[in-house]
Amino acid sequence: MSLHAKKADSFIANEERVNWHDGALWHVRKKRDASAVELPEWELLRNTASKVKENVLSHMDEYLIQFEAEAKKNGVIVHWAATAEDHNSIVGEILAKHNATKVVKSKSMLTEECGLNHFLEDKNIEVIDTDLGERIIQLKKEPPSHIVLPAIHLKKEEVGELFHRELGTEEGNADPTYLTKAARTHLQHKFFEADVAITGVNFAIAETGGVVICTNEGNADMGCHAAPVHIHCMGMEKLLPKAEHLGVFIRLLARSATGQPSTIYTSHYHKPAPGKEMHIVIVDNGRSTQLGKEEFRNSLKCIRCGACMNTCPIYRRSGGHSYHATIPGPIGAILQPNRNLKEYSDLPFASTLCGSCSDVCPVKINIHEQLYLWRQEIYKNNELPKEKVVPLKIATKVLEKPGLYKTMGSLARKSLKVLPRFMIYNGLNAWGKQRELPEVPKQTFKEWYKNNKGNE
Amino acid sequence: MSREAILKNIQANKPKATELPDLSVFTHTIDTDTLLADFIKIATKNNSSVVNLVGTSENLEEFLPAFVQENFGKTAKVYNTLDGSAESLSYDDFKTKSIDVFIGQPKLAVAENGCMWIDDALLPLRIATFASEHTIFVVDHTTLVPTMHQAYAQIQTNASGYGVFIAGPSKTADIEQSLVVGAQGAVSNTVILV
Repeated sequence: MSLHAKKADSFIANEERVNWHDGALWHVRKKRDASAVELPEWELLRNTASKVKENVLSHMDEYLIQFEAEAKKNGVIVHWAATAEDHNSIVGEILAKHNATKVVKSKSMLTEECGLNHFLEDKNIEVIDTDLGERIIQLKKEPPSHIVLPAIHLKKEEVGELFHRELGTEEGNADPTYLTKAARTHLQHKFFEADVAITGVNFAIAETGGVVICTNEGNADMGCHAAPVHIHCMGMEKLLPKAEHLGVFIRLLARSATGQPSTIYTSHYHKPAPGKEMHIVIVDNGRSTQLGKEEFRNSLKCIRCGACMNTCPIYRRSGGHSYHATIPGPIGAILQPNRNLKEYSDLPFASTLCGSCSDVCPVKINIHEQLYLWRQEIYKNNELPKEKVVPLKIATKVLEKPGLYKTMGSLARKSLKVLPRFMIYNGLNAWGKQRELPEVPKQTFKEWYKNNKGNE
Repeated sequence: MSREAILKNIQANKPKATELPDLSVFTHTIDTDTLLADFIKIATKNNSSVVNLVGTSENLEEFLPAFVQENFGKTAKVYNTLDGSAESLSYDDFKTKSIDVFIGQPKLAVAENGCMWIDDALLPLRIATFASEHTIFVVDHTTLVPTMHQAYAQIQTNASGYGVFIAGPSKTADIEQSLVVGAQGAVSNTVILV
């Protein structure tokens, strides 16, 4: 059984919980729909965003050079990280230079990708994730299960219990308002204690050398404005050519993510405040290599809205953790194999290829087509598990020879009727694990067609 | 060096150059009354309280102090960027959480999503609008624009070191998708339209 299937197995053991998870995400998907139809030009916006990103991919080097030059002019210190390790050591050096022992973080997906928290904690640096969902899973010592709703897999009672243990809230109190207020009080102290604030980046503007960060909670701004030093870590694909392109992307991002017309805060950082220090770390970590793969480079357009997760029938019913990757869901399933085909060869199969992900993607990434293409890559690279390879090989042989197909078909129709259950529903029949095989028809389609030809 | 290696790899791998699409199609002309109605609707939906003084004989200079007193108490400590009194307050005042109300005037506001633009020029201390318990924005209704495209055409994002669109009080739904107003930023926001 693939790792995704195995992990999904434990998630679906609790049917009530799966239905709840499924419903919660579908609710977000519906909010996205309602918000999208409010704009008559929605499809034009998606097309435009996709084209802007295409232009960015085709001028990535020039835009990065321009971005760096403009940022430097603004008094920002710019760093380049080829790998996750480079990224972590650059951040580590900045912290060491300032003798920092306390860090607050926001917009954490890239730092999750690089494993920054563990790296810093090993150096005895306190790292506090400040988005409420991120803080919850950090206290629970779990990875996020969704890129926009990191704690979507948890029930409020579990959060109540966690906060009682970690933050000293009342035992048994699971009221979201009460718990949010407790987190607010806890985090307000952390913001003002921090030596350095670290954020991710939603968009970076080549023309002006600035970075844009979108939040609802205000945590990125609290962190950056309270601490004397702020570091913005960005994947290099976050670039946009000009500030005017933000108009397109800000309109799409929150509508696609949560159905809001915009996030509450859309913050544009160009220069540090007087007496402060601002850093930007540009991260590659496999992206420039992915850029060279014609069939897969489009996934670099992703703006991390999470819409593909909310709509995916597999994600909704298997949970984010089943993807054992920083970025789960359909987009994760086409991004992760770029990094490590062997480790993530199960993910492109965690899909029905229904195409809903591509339909909602604000930058029109052909997600379901890439999932299909990855399956072929995985086969070519011999990373397909035996339970898939053997039946496929048999099927190839049978389908190649019409005579053999006929014989096997008739054999199957006869034997399936008479064989005892244990011969049909066993470890070899993965499909029949939770499903009944369809009723065996009396005749083949060929026979039916022969008998009915001419009776229109 | 990482920089050169990254750029070299991009140059070897990047696709054929494509052009940027036309953005002029997104510019709309909408009359002021509609903009005002749309803005009030979305600001309310974003959990702001809206006070519309447009077309009334209210005088803002008299209205504002009375409004603050009535809603936030006689002893409320106010960071007012409109009358210059904010200058006497510093970062430490926010650190000790003693500021109750922030008052500011955005450069413009966006009717489609309730965003209000404020930057270093209008915000002497960046943290002020986040670390105040409550925020009040005085929006001149003649600065309303229909969409984000028109907003970006009018503001210059790098006119100062920092600028932010604010669309309401901070909020979160990270616990079981239940909306809670008042996350890490302000817990309430009032929009006063003039």
